[in-house]
Amino acid sequence: MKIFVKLQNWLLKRVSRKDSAVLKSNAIYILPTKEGLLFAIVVLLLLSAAINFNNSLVFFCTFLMTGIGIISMHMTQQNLLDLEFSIAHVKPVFCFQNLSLPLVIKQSSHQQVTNRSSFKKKQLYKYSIAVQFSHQKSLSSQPDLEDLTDVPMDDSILLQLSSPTNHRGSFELPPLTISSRYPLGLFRAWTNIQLNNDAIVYPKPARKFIHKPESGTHSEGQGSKGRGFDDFSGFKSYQTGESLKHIHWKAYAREQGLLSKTFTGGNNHEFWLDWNELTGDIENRLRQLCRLIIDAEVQGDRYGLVLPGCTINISQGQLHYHQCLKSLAMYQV
Amino acid sequence: MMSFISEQFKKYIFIKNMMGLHTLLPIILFVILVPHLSSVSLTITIYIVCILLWFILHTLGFIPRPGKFIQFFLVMIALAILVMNYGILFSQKASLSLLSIMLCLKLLEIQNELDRRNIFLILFLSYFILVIYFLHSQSLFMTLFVLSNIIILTLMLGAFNRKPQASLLLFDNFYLIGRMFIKALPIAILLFLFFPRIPGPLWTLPDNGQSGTTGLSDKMFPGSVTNLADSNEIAFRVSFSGSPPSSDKLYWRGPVLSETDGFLWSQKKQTPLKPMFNEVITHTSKPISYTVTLEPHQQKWLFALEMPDQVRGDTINGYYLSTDLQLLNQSNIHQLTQYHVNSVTQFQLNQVRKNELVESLIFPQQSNPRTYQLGKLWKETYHSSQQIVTQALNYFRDKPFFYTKQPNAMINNPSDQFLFDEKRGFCEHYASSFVLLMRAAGIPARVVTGYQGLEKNEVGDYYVVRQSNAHAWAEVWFGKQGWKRIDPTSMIPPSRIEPDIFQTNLDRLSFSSLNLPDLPQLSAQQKTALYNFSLQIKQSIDTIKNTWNNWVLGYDQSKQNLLVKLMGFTSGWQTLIFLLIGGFTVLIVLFQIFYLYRLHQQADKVYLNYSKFIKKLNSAGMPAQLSDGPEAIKQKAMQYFPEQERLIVNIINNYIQIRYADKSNTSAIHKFISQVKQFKPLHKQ
Repeated sequence: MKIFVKLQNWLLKRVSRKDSAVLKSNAIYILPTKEGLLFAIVVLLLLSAAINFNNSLVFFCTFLMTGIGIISMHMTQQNLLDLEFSIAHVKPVFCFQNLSLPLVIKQSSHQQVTNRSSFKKKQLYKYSIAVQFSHQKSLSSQPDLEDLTDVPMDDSILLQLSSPTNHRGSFELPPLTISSRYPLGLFRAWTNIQLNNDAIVYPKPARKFIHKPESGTHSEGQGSKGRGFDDFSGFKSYQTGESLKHIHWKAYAREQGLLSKTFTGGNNHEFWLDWNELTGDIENRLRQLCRLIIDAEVQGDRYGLVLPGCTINISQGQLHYHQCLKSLAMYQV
Repeated sequence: MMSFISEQFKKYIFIKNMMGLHTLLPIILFVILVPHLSSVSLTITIYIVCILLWFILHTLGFIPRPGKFIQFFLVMIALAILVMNYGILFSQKASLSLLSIMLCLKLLEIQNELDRRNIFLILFLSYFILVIYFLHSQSLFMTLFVLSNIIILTLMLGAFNRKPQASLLLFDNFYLIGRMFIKALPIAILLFLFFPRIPGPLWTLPDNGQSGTTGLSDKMFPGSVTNLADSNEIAFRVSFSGSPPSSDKLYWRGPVLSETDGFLWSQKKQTPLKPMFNEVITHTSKPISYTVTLEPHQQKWLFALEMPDQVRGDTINGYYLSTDLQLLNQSNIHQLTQYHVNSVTQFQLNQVRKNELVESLIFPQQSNPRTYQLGKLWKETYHSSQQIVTQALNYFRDKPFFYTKQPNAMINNPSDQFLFDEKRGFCEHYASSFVLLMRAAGIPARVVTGYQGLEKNEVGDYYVVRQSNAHAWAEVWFGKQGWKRIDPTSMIPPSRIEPDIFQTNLDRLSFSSLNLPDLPQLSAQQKTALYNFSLQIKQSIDTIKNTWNNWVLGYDQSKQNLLVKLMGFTSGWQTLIFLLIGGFTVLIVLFQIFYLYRLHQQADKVYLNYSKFIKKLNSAGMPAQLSDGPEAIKQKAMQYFPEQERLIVNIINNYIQIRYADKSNTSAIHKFISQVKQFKPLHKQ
């Protein structure tokens, strides 16, 4: 088994990183499985029986089984041929959360195939493809049958790979081993691929961190007058652009004109989150900043981010939130 | 009570988890084992069926798998059953029984359908058992049975490599596995034809003893040959190179019986003939050359006409001529055997062994006293052996002896009973009584059994010898003239041959024996026509069998050499290896051509023609790419080739219609293709 581990390690070194990988015959390796060796032993036993008893039909069946073995080897290789793998957009996660990577598998054929009966299309299925993370054991270990995927001719398959994360920054997907033992399980064809992806791992947020607004720099402090959506505070005349939900329709019905309800947010602050005001090493500061950003977003604050060499203006919303977290994740990596 | 119900319910839920593809295994296994189980004792069958039922009930969730202790117990029972049936002799049948029992026990070790190790082992061993069946029967039916089961096993193998959700769609795989078999067939045929065949067994397993085949045995007693008279089974087929000899020479010599106790006749232990054939036999006639295809009869005899001179055959290994000039095989014949013989029919057989004549004079004491008296009387009356023999034959001819298939049983001193009381008997009665008479008269004599006559297959131009042709005759020592064949039954005049004899031997295929309903409304002529027609069908079927026997079952080293020579090569293993490699190369090239052809067939015609169109544009000087939008190409092309504007617009519009509106519009596709063909842009600089 040691030699297989060595072989796999050697093969893994040869894998190059790509956006999408198309399996070509020169990179598909094939070896008999344990079952295949057992099959070969049975065929050899039958051959010796055929020679010994000079029995034509035993000869014929032995050779038929030999032929099936050879053809199944070819078919196992064919079963991986022209498969195309790529990673779709990955949702970012915080460090030590599991990253869920959507692996897209489809059949790459340069010629579009149309006007096929569904039966004919079925013939061109790729059956029982196993996708595993390459590790040293992946040559000998058995993938569970549940993990096998069929890839139809004219459709793509989405497979969710799950990988733990242990550091912030962009995520380097470990090499994948694509293998198949279809149709007879006598041979296992496999290949290693490594795919680029756009996954980003945010720093792990620090524990609950009580942020004192005093320590933050208030630029345009609006205090408790800041507008929000939570608590009703009164009416004002409607201005175009305001939410229709906030219109006081009853007043409108009483012909008092369009009035808009105004609300105050819980604590509607606007502040800068500054790297320089925090203490600790880089990772610690990043984790604290991460916590602050999350809290600010949850509370509906408007915030800006100051990192050495990078400043993000005060704003709010999902886009802003992720932009800030991303700059934390990518800080000095 | 409640807890019991919930327990049941849990079990019910459990069922869903237990059921799976492996539930089919016991059924398939049973089907595969049927031919074996039908030939073994009932205990083994019951044991195996019980184990299979256990597994089925287990997968249905009714009973658990046996624990370690029970498994051990089951193995012990199995061994006990095997020893009970076969003793400790390790014969073929015993090992096959052992293998099938172990296979079934392995079934109980399957945890679930993901248990690849056990399942694959079971499937592979099933392949093995199936193919091994051919050692016992090579009939067409068995061939179909084995091949169809191999396909089923391969289907199962394929299904076990699919994900479980798909596994019950067994026939989803059918197309794929079928394609696999079609591709594997040329490889199998290539290997079958050119894989070097080696004559000679590497090892032998002890024979199974008795198995229920009909045929001659090495013992003869009154009634033993009679038993064969009704059997239409084929003993062997013969094809002569030339015409067959006349019927008085068609004696196929089998067991030579010279030992007797007055009732039972048996043969001496056979040893290979020491002196050369030519020293023992002086012959004058030209040898008759023929090929015998012998059906397996579980005995050692290779039947041949009279005195076999030269024998060839790859499937027979270590044949020899015995001191009684029987042609014998070293081991029992379990499978169809083909051999080529040169025989002489006019010959003089001299003394071979010293004791031969003495042994052929032994008259068992205190048996058949009346026979002994008669022989003694003749010895005193006549002087020459010739006279005595003639007297004996005349005795059969003149006294009211009848030749019948249904003689009364003769147990005590059967010869006396036959000669003086019954006077009705089959060939073995005549032969044994005649030989005893001769011995009493002091003339060495022995009984020879074998077959007499043959039947022509008009369709296939070969001859058939059936079990009903079994016969017994005598050989008498004439001093200087050596051993001479005497057939006492031939002295019985036709009037005293009972009609049932004719029905079996001569007119066996009469109308009534064809199992056709007797149709009174048919005239005699119509009946004859019908009879001839059915005869022809029967003979045609047998001809197919014969061809199968000759070219598939009988494909051996000599046929292989013949084939290689016909192809224009010199025979030898180097040639075979060359042919194998060459054949494989040709196969790979053919596969590749077929694959490319298929690609071409499968290719999208619209796509091909569209890219052809763009290539034409390119070569005419207009830069365009497949990835450009069709509308953009149209505009550009119309500027470049204003003279072909109409055609360009048509092509692109058709393309857009086919691609984006109506995919299955074949007429639009055809139009598009012809338009692309028409399009011949003038070259622009």
